[in-house]
Amino acid sequence: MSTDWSRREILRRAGAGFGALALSALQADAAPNAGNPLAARRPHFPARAKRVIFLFMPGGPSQVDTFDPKPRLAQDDGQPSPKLYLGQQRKLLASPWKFQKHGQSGVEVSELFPRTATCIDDICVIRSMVTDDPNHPGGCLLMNTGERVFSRPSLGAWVMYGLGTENQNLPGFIAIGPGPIIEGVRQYGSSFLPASFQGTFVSNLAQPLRNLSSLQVSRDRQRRELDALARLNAQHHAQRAADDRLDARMQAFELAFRMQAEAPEAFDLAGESAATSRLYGLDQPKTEMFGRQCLLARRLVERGVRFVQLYHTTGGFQPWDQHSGLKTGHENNALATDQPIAGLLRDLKTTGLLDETLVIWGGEFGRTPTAEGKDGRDHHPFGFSIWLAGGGVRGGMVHGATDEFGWDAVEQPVHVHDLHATILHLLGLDHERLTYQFAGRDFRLTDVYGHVVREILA
Amino acid sequence: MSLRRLFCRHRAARRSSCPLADLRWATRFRAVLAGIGLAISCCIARAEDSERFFETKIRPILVETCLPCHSDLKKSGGLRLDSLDALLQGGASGPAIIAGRPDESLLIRAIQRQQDVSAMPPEQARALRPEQVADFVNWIKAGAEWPAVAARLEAANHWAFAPLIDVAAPDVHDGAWLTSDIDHYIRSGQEVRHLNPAPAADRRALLRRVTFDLTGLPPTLAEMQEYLHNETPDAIAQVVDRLLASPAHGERWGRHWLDVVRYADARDLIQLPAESDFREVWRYRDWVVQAFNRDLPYDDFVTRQLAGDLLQPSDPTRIDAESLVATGMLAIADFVPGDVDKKQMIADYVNDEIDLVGRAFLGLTLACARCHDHKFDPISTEDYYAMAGIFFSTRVIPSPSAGNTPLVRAPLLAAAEIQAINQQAQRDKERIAELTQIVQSAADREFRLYLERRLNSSLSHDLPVAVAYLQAMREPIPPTLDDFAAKHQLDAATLERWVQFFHQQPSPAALSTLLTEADRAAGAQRVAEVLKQLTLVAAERRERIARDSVAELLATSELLRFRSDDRLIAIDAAGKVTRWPDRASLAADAAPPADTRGPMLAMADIRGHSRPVLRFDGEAVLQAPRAVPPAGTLFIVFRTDPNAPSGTRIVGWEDSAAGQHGIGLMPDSAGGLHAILRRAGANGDIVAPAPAESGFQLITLTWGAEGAALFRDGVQIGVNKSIDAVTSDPAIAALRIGGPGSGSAQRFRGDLCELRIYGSPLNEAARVRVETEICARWFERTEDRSLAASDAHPEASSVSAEIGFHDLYDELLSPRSPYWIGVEDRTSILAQDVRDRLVAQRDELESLKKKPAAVIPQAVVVQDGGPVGSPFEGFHDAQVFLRGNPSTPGKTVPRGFPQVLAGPDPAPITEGSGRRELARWLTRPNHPLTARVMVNRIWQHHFGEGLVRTSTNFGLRGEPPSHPELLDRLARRFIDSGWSIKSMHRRIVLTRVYQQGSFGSDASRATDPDNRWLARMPRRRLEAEAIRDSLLGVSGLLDTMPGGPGFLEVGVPRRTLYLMSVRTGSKTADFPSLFDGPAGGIVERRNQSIVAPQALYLLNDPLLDDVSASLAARVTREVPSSDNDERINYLYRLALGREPTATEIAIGRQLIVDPDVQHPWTRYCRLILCTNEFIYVD
Repeated sequence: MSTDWSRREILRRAGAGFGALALSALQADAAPNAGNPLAARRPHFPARAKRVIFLFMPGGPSQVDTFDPKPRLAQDDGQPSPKLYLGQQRKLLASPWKFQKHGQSGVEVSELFPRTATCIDDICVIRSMVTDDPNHPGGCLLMNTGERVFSRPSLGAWVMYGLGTENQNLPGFIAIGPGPIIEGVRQYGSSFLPASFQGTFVSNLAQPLRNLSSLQVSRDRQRRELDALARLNAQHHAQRAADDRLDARMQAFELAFRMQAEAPEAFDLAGESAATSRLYGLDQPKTEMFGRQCLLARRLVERGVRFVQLYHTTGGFQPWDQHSGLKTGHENNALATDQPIAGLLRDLKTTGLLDETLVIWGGEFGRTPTAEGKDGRDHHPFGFSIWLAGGGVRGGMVHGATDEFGWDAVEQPVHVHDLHATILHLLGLDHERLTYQFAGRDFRLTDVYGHVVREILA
Repeated sequence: MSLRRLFCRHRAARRSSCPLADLRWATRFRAVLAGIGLAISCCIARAEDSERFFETKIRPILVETCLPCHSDLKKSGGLRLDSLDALLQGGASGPAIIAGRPDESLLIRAIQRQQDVSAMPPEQARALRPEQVADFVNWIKAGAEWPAVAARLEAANHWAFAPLIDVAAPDVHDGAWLTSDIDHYIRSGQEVRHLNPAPAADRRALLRRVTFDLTGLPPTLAEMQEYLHNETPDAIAQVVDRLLASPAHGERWGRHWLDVVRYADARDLIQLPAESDFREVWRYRDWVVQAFNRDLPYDDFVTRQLAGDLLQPSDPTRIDAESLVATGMLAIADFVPGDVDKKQMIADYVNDEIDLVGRAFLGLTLACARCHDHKFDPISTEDYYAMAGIFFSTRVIPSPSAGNTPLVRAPLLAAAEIQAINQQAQRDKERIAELTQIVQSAADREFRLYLERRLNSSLSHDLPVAVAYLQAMREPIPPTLDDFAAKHQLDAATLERWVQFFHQQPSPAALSTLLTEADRAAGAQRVAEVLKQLTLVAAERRERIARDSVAELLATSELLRFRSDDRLIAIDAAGKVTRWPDRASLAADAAPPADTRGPMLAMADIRGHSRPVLRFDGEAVLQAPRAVPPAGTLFIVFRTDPNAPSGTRIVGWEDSAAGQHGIGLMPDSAGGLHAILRRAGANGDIVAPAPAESGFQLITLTWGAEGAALFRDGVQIGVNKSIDAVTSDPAIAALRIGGPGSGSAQRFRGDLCELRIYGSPLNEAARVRVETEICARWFERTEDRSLAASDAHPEASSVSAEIGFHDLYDELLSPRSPYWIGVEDRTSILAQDVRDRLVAQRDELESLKKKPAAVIPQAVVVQDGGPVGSPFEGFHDAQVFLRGNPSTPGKTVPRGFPQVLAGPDPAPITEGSGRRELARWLTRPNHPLTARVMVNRIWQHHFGEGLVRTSTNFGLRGEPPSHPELLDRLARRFIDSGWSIKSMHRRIVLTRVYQQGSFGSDASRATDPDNRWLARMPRRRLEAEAIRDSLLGVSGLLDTMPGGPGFLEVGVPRRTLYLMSVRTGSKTADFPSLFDGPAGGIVERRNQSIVAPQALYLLNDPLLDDVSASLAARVTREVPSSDNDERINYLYRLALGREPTATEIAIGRQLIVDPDVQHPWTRYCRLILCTNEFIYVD
């Protein structure tokens, strides 16, 4: 064989290398060793969800003011709580908001979320969430990585490791947080998993990804350059047979070339209609930021991005942390997110994407049914609410319950590990089989815990 | 060892003394373990099926569901379920299980909730799911295998715990291939498998490989030439010696070590305050680099990192700074800060340090034994807490303070040196404060004295002349000013200024009658009266200053004085203030800056009296030119509009747009107050709460060498001792009144009455006098006095106060005075000696200010003894925390080391934490692990994989060594060489196996795809650091400056080792993470990922713009002939260390002549940097 291959030969060769690798990867649990680690992989069993959008609400939204109505609180407002918090007895605080039944299912939602409430028949509310850490850093890490202290791969990174991504021209795991987030990269990082599985963090929505354009040369010239590069690499490779990595890296440059064309388009909202902009609240200053995040999420999952994590950061890095000013704080937060979230759900539903897209809403913990100060609530890890929609989850249902005050999860408690197990299950992954060997041990997202919450599966 | 101890006991409910314990722990099956790092996690075994089944299906349920009530802590029904024995033995109702017979097993009937037995768990909500019940049935049916038994038996004979063996390598047939004993072992392993080594690497490839390996940089052209022309047999040995002696060597191998010890330059650059972060840890990084460069023996290296603080010289005047710095390894413990539960936080960092010591030095996952005996290795919880006692008796934090906890720091100088430095610094500080005061006020004071002298000498002559002139002007034929002045022996300019003085609006009250007197005689008498009164005022003031030190202090240090009831305030037609006269007289007045407007002069009710105030509406602002005094006192009477936005400033020397601050006073609408004082960029704040009543208040702020304090209506409401002087950017030359806000256009809203600033921190007497005076004026007057009558000296009663002679005297000392001279012209009026003195003082001040700050270098370190004020204060053996929970302590274990390794009869630790003993134990020559683990790590960085591929896990679940005899031989040689790492490099690199080619035969790849038998050299991708360093190196940009704090900008052309890394990733460059750089935890081995964003980076990032432009410039500069072929050849030699082929030259030519592109050489160079060859080393 001539050592100076034509471009076509090179691409065919690189492509074949990949095909073979991808095929072997399909058979295995484990991530590929070489080649393209992001190639789409078949799940353990047929998946209900192909993609995930996690709407993370840092700070800890209050369950008794959002999705877990507690008439008893209104009744006993101002009375000493029968339970202590941090050794202190505090007074019960009624929710300032009314709850109402919505949809055909009649699931109750507080008036904080009038628009999300219209989608309630697609939503499964879990009212019995439990977590292990009452502090923000540990709580956020646990919710996002399954571990509260040590460096561990994030949920999104595990999903990437398990499934790869469907669109090679975009990152497969994108985290969008316009403001800073607590614990930073640890929330979306890959830790000991290969770096290619870590979330691509987008902070500046105007310039979401770096290095997508070459300001110096035309695309034609760059094409010629990459052809030349391929020929140079082929010469190098010809003497070094059977090193998949050399093929893979040639292919990576081809992928990069295509990403340059496709990724900016994915992040460009200019082409969206005025109606869509309104649907996501882009026309209102208060909803514009999170609306943009949600609309981006839809555009990204539409293009095969596997995991999109949105951090709500309008109003601080943990906006839901209302130790005081619950009324204005939660109202502002709900206002900033309600229309965008409802818009996202409706849009996904209309386009049919919701069937295969799992949407998750929630924070790192909930808030106490008792008052902190005169108008705040403290952190509360023992029973709080999150919800899921689409992607194989039963809509219009409530799972689990807290006690009559909204303290403890008393029926069907769902630990964060259980939630993680369920998310992986919906994606067709067995959380006990999705393991990665590191330092002589097999690690998994759920450590040694986790049960799939089968009751909420559609 | 009892079976019971093997049971994984974590994850049961904690019941007491946890801060959250009141929340019904006992009923919570999944208890909020609030923090117990239970998740240290229990490992998922890579285990046999039955074992796996037990570990994943059975054990978790026993632990979570059953153990809370059935363990050694609480034996409900006399039953324990924490070992197979206990299950078989059972409780009050008989055996819990009968192996092989699920139907007869009580446990099964209980979890099936059959009617005749107590259902378990009792609560219906927690009932096991059917599939879980089925798992138990299957487990018992299959014989109820409890797999830890097997693991324990296996452990006793584990190779890694056995002493080093010394077995000669078996004979090999291919004796010709061998150059060293290493080759002997390797070749023998190959021959058994019928593998043949690859041919030797060519010289270029070898030089490139060994240069990257030992320095992380590519060979230079000269180095390549020299080596290629060196025909001596030991040419490569010479190269190796040169590389090992290069400073770059420590930067390369130091980084390898930093990977192991979870190094980061900081934990967080955004949310944590500096004292809670370890930002000085770069000193540790530099120490590591140096240690590798000078081949610090590894036993010493280990010892200093573990116990450097305990190795200090006995002579108290000396200090071993280097050994202190070395303990940075422990100081950068990975734990979540700011936790409410400090006890937990301490337990978390102890755990991190055990994990580190285990994995870095012993190759053991000791931390697994925090909650339960290690599942696979013979490490019990007692072993863990024996080690834990050592680290609980060591502090990373001084004490468990609330909020973000500061870290322990130590000065790196001996006490005497520190004292000398501090004394000098204190002297300098005092002198600076003194000089600043002198220099700033001296010129003012001299000028004021001049003015007073001038008034004294000239007024009695000049005033009558001026009055006469103004009267003469009304006559039918007025005289010219020049003539009149000449006739009356007054210079014309002074007369003209007198005219202006009389004509200013409003004119001074005391003068208003002078011109209206029709009768000349009466007029003259009136003039005489005015002169007499002014003389009285002057005399009175002089006398008071002379007899009263407080008055003198006030008079000499007053910088600004504004009052809203000043009749001289100038307003425009809209009622907006256009000029606010400064009654301290020496600085210019306050006026709105260009394009803005001043506040409204309005009336407000102040304690029942209607008084004039300056009303700020959120847009208005005034500014008074004057720099911030480094020490001073500020008095202000104001109130804030209750609807005002927060964050606005009422007064301040600030430019928030440029981020420059000196002082800012930030009231909030509730009446609270926030004083911001900044010194050389460091913030010091005082925050004071609101008073009981809102409304007008007098606030006093003093700052200076004694710190800063805030008073409200004379009562101290806040203090900050750490602020010893205030500095601001020299660009801020004016005090702003009413603005700016913090970053937004919103300015102060509210009313302002009075503002005074003194250039020294007034003593209490002076402060109280001013406060009394101000309070009297604004808050305690029982009757409203006319504006004209008010003055600053109410006690000066002998002067006719009602006409305002004090005001007139002030006016005559103000910028409006006929005798005023601008700042720039004043030198002429100062006496030469005064001028000389001022210049000298100013010079001294400048040189003192330029003197580098006497910083005592500090390092983050650990100290002996648990955190002060915590339960771990001092030195204690630790109690076993049942299930890892600090709230359920069990038996106390003496401090010590894992029993399986401790050797017979280890000496008890009786003094201090035991870290010294730990280091001594680890570095014993007969320790089975320390040397093995380190030589394996060295091997790993030369060959990509260790002989034991799990280089931080030599336990039973780690991979066994491919060449156990070789590993032990190396370990033995390592110890025998005096733990010399550089000798180990020479030993490994100067072998046939290291120097073989990377191409390998098809047979070797087929037989040994993982290359365990090393029949070829692995081809390796450069690590993130080496990629960037190579880019900078070949392009000629690399700045090899060593050490110091990390830099943040990826474009700074220093070695990547020094690029700032942060555990949370904040503010850091994305380059390292894109190329598999360390992520803040312990790195066993770098990944070598290949993804498109890496390609995008190389294709488009500005860093590559610079690098390739520089490389192109270098090529064209260093090959003066414009022959493209010659330049392409040169580029290849620079970037890839070889000559290009004809095809490659042809490809290059095509790219260079492309007319489409502006800088074809730059583009071409970039492409060469993108090639696989550039980042894969054969």
